[in-house]
Amino acid sequence: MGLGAVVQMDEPNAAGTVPAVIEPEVALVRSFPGLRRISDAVQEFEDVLRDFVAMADPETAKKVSRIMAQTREVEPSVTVIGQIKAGKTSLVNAMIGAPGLLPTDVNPWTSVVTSLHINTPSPELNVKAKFKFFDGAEWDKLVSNGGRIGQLAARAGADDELEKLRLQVVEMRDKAQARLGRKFEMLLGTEHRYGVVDDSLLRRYVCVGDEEAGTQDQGRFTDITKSADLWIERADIPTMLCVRDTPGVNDTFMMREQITINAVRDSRSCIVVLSAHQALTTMDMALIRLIAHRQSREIIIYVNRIDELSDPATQVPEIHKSILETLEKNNAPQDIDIIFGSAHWANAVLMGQIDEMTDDSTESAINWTRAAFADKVESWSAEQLVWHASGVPALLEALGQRMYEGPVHETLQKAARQSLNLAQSLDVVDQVRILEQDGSLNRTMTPADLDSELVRIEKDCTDKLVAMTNTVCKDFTNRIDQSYERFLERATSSLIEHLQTHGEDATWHYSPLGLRMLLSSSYQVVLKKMHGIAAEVNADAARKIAELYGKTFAITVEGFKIEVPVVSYIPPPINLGQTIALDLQVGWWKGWWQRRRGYKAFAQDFYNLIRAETDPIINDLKTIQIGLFRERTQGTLKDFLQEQRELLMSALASSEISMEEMKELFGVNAWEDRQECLATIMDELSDYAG
Amino acid sequence: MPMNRKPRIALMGEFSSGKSTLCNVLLGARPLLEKVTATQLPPVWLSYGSSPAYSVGLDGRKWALDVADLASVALDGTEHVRIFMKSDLLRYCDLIDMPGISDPSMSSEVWERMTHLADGVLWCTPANQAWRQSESGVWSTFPATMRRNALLLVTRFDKIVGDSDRTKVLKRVGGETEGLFAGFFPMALTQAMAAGDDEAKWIDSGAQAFSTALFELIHRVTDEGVPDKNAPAIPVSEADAPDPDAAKSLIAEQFEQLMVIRNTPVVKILPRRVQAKGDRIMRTERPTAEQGETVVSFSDWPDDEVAPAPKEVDMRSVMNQSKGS
Repeated sequence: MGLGAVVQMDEPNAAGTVPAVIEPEVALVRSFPGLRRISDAVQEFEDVLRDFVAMADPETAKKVSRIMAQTREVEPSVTVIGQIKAGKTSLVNAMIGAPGLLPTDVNPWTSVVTSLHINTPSPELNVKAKFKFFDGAEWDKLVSNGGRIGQLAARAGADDELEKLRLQVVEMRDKAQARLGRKFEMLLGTEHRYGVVDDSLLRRYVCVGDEEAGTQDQGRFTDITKSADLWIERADIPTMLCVRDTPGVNDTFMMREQITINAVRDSRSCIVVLSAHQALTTMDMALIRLIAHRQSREIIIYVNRIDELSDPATQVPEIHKSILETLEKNNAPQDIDIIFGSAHWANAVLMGQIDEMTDDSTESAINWTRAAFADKVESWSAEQLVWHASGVPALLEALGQRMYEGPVHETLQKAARQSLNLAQSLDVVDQVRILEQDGSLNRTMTPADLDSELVRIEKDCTDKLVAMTNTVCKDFTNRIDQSYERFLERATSSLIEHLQTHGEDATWHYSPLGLRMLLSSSYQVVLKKMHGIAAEVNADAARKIAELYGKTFAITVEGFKIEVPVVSYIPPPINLGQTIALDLQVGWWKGWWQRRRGYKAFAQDFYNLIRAETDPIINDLKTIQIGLFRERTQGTLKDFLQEQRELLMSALASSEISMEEMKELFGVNAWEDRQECLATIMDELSDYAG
Repeated sequence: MPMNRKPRIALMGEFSSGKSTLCNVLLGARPLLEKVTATQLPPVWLSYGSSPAYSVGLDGRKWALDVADLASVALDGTEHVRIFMKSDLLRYCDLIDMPGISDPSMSSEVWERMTHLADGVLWCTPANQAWRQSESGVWSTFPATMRRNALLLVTRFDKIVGDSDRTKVLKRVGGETEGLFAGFFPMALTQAMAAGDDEAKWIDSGAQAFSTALFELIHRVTDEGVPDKNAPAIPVSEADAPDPDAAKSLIAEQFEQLMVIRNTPVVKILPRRVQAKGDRIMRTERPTAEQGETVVSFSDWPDDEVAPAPKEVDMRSVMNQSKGS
């Protein structure tokens, strides 16, 4: 029984025009308003810049073109993470509308982080697929960093897991060596490039090898492949987009987990894929905790496999409620979007095979569409209904929304401010010429004077930024050090109290939640302060530059101001969510407890243990994260000042071209057009700069 | 010397892996909540009988409990819940339905403090996400001696479509769990529950192979077990007599067939739904010369005595014969 038939039965179509066999290409038009909005916004913005290029002098035009090129490079990206066999790869295929593009299997299969670049031009000519191999050092690092593995989810037996991981890596290396022979050493650290993407190619690089499958080439390079990048054109997806597929966590082959954790660091938006029949396990919670320090807007939960529920209409609300409760109990970020669906359904629609789904799957689809799209059952085709039931359109819509509000908005804002400053400077030069014509210009600055003024502003602003950053960071460091000490004291005294009341045999627990929340809130405070400082110093710099314009040309232009640069995105710290010994209620934590004997040993060892566990987190916050602050804020200021220096210097130089000469260059009417044009462009750019 | 009480079989696995459904298939009734989300219950210890249910606090105190209010039992402070019911299967063994592991809302201590009571384990792993590290990690903390008294059930097996995929899953699970269980069994639990008199459906669901293995396990545990000094408060005898009103479990029915085969000195062709005569449930009597050779023996032979080699009998052919009649 196919769903197509069922829906037709339920659909008393007045005109009777529903064809017996619906061609999927006709019945389903994939449209993504959320993504469309991104492409429209970028397109409109580019139109403004194109006008700007057309009217600007060659020097400025070159600068605007550069800004335009940067805008075009915006490739919002999303990483799909989850446990093994949650259906990540199927979901990725469904999202990009290419079922079967990435190979899937009934057993854990994906073992490489694969980035699909949709509609993005490949950085190298004719390269459509690129596979990077591990180098020797990276491989060793995977093993030595494995100390944190298994602890991720507070899993039992974590102490044995490290050893297991080591053995797995050694075995994998041996296997690869046997398979690749003497080429093995040569391949490490290199990459392979191809001009086409096809199934057998992917199977050689990203799938687990299966000795008995008969195809000896399958998985040939998988063991040594670190990452895969594929460039794909999809006409129905209106934007550039990067979707990253990852190996699942909680695999008994733990190497894959380590690869995924490393990939999560690089991603701003994440889709966490859960399996409907077992929503939100401790493992999923650990993943969410790992990414929890980004804004909740950047996390979407997709509950896959509702096709395997017998009664999704009743069960989905139940699962939804349970997920919300678990998230709340575990202090996860609030307002995470939760979308239910089935990648299996989406792929069935895309392949035109909804009539070939199993009876159970069809029953569930009918059950779910009746509940979720009751008002559409009459008017939509079976394909449309199943496609929407799959949750994939809703997911892409939510994703588009987030990207539009997040990275796309930021990029356009930044580009608009840069362009606006270019336009301002052109405008100033034009005003200078008008004044000069009137004979009322009082040129007071030589290029050398201007240079020394600029050097002074550069130094003042940079010094101010560094000084303020130092103060804030010092406060931050003190604050977390104090919280940390207080936490250690409280925990140790709780332990001693426990020992006095219950003796050594009862196991003691102490939640690290308090420490984590203290660190997290301290981080949020310092983040806000850093943005505040950057905004203040940048605004100050912009004001000083504006003053310098006035001083250089001894003019006041009404409404003249320099746009303040945007500080680029600062990635959140990832290891705040890392599991520490105290999270673990089984496994080695218990082992540690049982191995300790003697009253005093507990307290001292405990103190040392927690210190050793948490020191890396504290140090990471103090060095890496603060380093990121400095790098991003100082980088932004430096770029801005450099840009303004060039503009002022060239304005000073070009203002020496007289109005007469200008009119000769452009023609009298063109000159006036130019003035009008510039005013319009500045108006339009202001809309994006806000 | 064999065990002087019924063996206790713990049902374990991640939450939502099919433990409650398994429990229902075993009991032939639905005493426990079966939900798509995690079931927030303390361990539930099920025994044969009609005594009223009670809960046992962490302090050891007992509290009367209305089974209808099972869902309201507080997780904090309750060690376990004890329920008595007349289900055929409970004449053979006690069941301890453990809460699922990997539930972020439940501390592992809730089930950890009960594991020492278990003589055997049935571990459920869902076929479409079978045997993950979180399961492997917990199972590695169990004593290695438990492994031969543990069966791995690959549940939801009907969700894997196609023979080649099924073979692949079993190959992986088999490889990953080698030596960790006495055997692994693909199971379609909902199908087993609905099998009724449909023999083919029963076999196809995997329930027959599993029941046979469970039967063997229960007897091995009994025979090899150590007498329990803290003998249970419930006398074994109460469970012995079959009760016509007891919940009928298809698994228990199969047990009775197997029981008859075990207790019959010569191979006889048996009708499928034969009822076990008499009240011999757990132990076979030592074969005597008059009875001739025993088909299969699970008596505990003293170390210094050489056990007579039992005649090889292919259990499956016996079952097939009995089916045919």
